[in-house]
Amino acid sequence: MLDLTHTTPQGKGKKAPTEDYVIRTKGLVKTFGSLRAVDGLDLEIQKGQLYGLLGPNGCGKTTTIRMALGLLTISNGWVEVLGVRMPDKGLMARIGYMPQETAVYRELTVHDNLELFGHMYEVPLDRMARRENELLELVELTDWRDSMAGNLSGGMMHRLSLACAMMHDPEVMFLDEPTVGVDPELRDSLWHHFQDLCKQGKTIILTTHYIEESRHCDLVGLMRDGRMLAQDAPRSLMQRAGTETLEDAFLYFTKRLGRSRRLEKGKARHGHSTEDAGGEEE
Amino acid sequence: MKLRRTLAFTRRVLKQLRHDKRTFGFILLMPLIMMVVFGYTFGGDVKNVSVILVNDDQQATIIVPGSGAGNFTTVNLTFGDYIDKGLNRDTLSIRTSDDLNGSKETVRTSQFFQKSWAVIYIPKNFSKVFADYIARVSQSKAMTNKTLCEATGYFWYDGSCHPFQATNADKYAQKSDCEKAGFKWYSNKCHEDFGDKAEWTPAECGSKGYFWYDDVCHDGADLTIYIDGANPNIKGTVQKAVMDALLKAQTEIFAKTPALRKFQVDSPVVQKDDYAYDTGDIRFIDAFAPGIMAFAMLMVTTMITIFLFIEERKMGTLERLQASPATETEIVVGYALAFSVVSVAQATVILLTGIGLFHIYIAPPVWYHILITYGFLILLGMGHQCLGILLSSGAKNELQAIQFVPLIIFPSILLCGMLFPIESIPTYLRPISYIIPLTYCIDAVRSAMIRGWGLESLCCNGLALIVFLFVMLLGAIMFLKRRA
Repeated sequence: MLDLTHTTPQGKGKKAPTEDYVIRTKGLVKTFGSLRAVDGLDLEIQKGQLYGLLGPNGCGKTTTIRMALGLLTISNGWVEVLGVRMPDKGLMARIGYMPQETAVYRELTVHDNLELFGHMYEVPLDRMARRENELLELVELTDWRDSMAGNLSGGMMHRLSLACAMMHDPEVMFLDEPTVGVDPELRDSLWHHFQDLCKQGKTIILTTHYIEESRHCDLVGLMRDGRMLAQDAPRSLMQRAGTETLEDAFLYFTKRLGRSRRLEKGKARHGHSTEDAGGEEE
Repeated sequence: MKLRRTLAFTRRVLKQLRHDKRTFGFILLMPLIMMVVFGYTFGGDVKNVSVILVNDDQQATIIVPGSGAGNFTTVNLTFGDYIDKGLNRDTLSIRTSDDLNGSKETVRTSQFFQKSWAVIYIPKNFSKVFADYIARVSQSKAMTNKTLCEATGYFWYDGSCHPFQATNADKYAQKSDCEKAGFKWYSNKCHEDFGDKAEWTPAECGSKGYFWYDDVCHDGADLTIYIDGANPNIKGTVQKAVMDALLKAQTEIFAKTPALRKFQVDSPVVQKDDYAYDTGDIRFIDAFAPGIMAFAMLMVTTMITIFLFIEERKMGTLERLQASPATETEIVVGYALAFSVVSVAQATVILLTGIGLFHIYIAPPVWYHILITYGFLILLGMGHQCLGILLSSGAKNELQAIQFVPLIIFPSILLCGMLFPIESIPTYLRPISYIIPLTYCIDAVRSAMIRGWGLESLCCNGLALIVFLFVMLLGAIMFLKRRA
């Protein structure tokens, strides 16, 4: 087992002893028929890191997360979360997950939803109400406590889904597009909250479309066609690409990979189409 | 399995159903409406069947021996009128007519509100045949010595006077025995072959037990029912009503005319109903209530589970549950408990409606048999909820789910014995009845409520349902554990 009490220098891409990795993947592959949605992914995320998984639709972000949670079978390679080889049901109580779809019960009230997830993760009964109020405040839904979830706007439902994922104060959180459809102001406060959580020793792995937003992350992984293009602190990425914005950096790395892929293809005419890969994955 | 999580799922399903007003109403109103509709309108018995009575019967005079030797009493009667009076006016809605052929035409062509189903035709010699028969029987009975008997044209054998000539055919009750002995079998009776009736004289005709009228020897007078047999249910009802009226008329005639009474020929064979259970007064609705309880529960549970799981999948909440400490067993059992509550609520509505409106019968001790009823409904409900989970995998959306109705629900209704007894199902289809779990549940609930059976007698039904439940439970859990 890994020792979670062992303190490590906070993230920022520095190498640390392997025991301290909260999430590790090695040669992770997921194929759907002939499609390789995730194609040999190596990932190492340390305790206390806020890790952003970036990339276009169908690049394999969600598939990676779903494999890490045991929602998809792994075609090849492995995933470890908190030192445990996944899938492992016993570990789920320590993990928080917010799926990309707004997975809340629309015919239940906001309160009922939070309560259900509280029970599901066995949040101590005396802490339930307090926890619920804290989270409602965080996602700014306090006034909507007794509204039917189905009557909320898309963004509000999304915030509720996020609150549900955090109900049991998990050590590791997988957040799939947590800021989609959320107002800029609230988005900013959510990012600060994520950073605070990481400072408290929680680990967060999230995906996002908003590339610029990922400057809040400690580490960013750029994915494309199921592979990791580059992985570094946002600032370092920009430096390496020699660009002013993360978006430009992403484009820079995409082009570079595209070039190397084409070379690769020319040499050995085998494998799969890199350009068409993805799309059907999510 | 953690109880806290399981109950959380149960509560969530119940809350969701409560919030969804229409579904909530459907769950409670559907069985209530079915119960009221079936209870009031269907009731099992056919009523007010429109028929036409053509009564051509003419009064006949019966001459029977009086108290002393040589004196006679005459009785005038019209048998047809007694039959007319004896027809059940509740079952049949009767219109009289003189025109036989016109009435037959009406039966053939009438429709809808004007529909007439049958013509009951009483021929003009009906009373005469009856009178002849009674006269012969009574007069011959009155002859106490051989000379007198034979002088009046009767037959003396076996030490007494008989109305008809001796025949050995009567003793053969089986067709095969009858034919083996060289007699003729017709009209469900063994007959001696007297040759051609058409050549007999009136005296010969009478002496052989036949009837002379219209200048020809007849087998008897036929009361004819000309019927539109398109609906077997109605056909049976009309036939039974006429049969009952005939018996009633005879009884009444004998009761009203003391002169005839002593010649009443009582059959030594009497039909008597002796009930194995205290079920003499059981009506259709009593036997129907258990069926509708089980069926309403099956329908609601299966359909709602399919819908709920399609939604869980579409909304991503199912995946959300799978990525939590909640196990598949907890999810399935949590759902099952919720539907148990639904089953009990439904059964209670049906029982209250049944008791309140139709005074349905529940064998004493009532509470015990209601508990058994609940138990069986819950078993079936849980099994069907798991089946619903499995079926939800076969449907991408609600529209596809609806298509399971004809596939699962209709065969269940028709083959489970709720409306039609399993005995009315062709033998080659009956095995299907016995693999439908609903059959066992309805049988068990009926046995408990009507026959008053306790758990010890219902263990086979219970076992069948438990096996079904476990197979479905395992199937549902395995299905939820499946990963792409």
